[in-house]
Amino acid sequence: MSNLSTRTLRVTVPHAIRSKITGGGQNARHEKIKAILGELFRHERIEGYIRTHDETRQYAERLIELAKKYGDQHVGTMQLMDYWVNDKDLIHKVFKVYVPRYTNTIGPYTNSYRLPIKYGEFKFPHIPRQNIVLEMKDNPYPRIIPDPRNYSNILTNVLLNEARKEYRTERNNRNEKKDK
Amino acid sequence: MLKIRPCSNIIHHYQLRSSSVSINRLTNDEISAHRLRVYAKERQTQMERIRRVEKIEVDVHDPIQSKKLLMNKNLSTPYNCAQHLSSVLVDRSCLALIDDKYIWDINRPLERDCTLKFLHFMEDKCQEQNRAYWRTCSFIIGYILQTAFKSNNYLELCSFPPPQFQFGSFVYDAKLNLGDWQPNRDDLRCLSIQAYKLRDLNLRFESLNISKRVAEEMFSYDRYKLAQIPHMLRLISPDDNQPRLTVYKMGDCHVDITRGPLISSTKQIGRFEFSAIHQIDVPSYGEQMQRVQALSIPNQLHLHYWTFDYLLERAKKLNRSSIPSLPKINSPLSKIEQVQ
Repeated sequence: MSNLSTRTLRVTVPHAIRSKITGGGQNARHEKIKAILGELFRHERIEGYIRTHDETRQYAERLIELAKKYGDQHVGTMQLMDYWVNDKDLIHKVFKVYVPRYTNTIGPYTNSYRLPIKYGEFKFPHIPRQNIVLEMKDNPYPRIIPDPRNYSNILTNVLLNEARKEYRTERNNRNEKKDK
Repeated sequence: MLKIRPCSNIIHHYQLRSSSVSINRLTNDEISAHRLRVYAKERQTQMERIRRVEKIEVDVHDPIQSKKLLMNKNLSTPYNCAQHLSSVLVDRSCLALIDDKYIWDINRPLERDCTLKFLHFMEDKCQEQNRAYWRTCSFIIGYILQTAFKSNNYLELCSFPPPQFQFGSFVYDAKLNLGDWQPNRDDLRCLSIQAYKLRDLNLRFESLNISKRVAEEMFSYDRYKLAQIPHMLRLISPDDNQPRLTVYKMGDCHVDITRGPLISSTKQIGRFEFSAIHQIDVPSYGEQMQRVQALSIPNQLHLHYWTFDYLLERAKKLNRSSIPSLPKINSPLSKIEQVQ
């Protein structure tokens, strides 16, 4: 298990103090993360407190990265899966649904969006409770932010494209002259 | 600090030189007024032809508001439709799309039952809008050239080629009759200020289809325009089966021949900077002319000043789009058949 290695995570790592995310020590922290991880893998889009969910996001990323790299025959990967995923049917989902879905994806496999803070709903008036939406990429739900529009045809972009083309051809011509 | 001379300085500078040239000729203002007079008369006669107000049903499809409107035939324009719906549509629409096929001017009256869409500069497909915008800007250069200089400095407008974005600027070819004048940076800036003044005036562009006889009367003092008229006759009107051409009027200031379409009003101009004036040889007229180049972007689009200055540097090179020429044809009718 010690020789498991993946690339660096492609998500921002939160700088909150990890032990203070939940009360009750390391065990309680792991149980909390396992619960959220199970929810995320099952429902593919969940909503919750930013501290816990951002923390869980890294675990989800790392598990899928490992599953992609080593496959379901690898002992260390399966031990990790067994530890972090409570509902065992979700391990099947990871290998049968998520790994084929993300074979061509390089980047992060999850998205997170901050939700607006509803004033008056949090307990401590001076610490607003920031919630986020955490989702697996390419899920079947409608997009949270609607499709981005294509701005490549607007006048300013057309002009800048032409300027860029001209600059590149000039640079290539200059390089060719230098080579001669 | 950059010192910008007042705009009248350009005019003052060439007062002495130009006065000796054009003693017998009409001034630019008088010629312009003549064109406007003919335009107003022709428009009056065309409006009198509408005897009865008939109703048409216009089906507007727009993300802001979709509605069925009952409008007047040959009187109501897409602009009037937008006024019924939303002020956003009134301000930003530059063209209209009729029956998902035909591009229509915002200020041209509708002729039949149709579906209507409003187009603006930030759509996915905005090639038509971009072309219409630069065409309008070329049109505006014609007006600025006529008014920025002293009125008795006789100036002959020729034409402008269709907008081509790979050259980075739009142009107007004209004979300025200013000798070997090379504009410096301040002179170009003074010309640009005229365009910014137009933006505040919010002048609307109107189109009119006129017959050859009226066109020749309208442009009787412009020899280049007179030579072009037979080549511009394209439309055949259902009323009298005669070929017609389209002229556009900006507010109550300027009339010019162009095939259109143009944008809604001068309020949609964002930045407008003159970049250079080059000498060009025009073989078909056998003369030297000046190619006035400028760069502009619409009000709706924003650009950082550094980026705009970079594009403006590029727009200073000589624009290589087509030089005004007169295609040799036997009769105007053969040309029309080709087009159709």
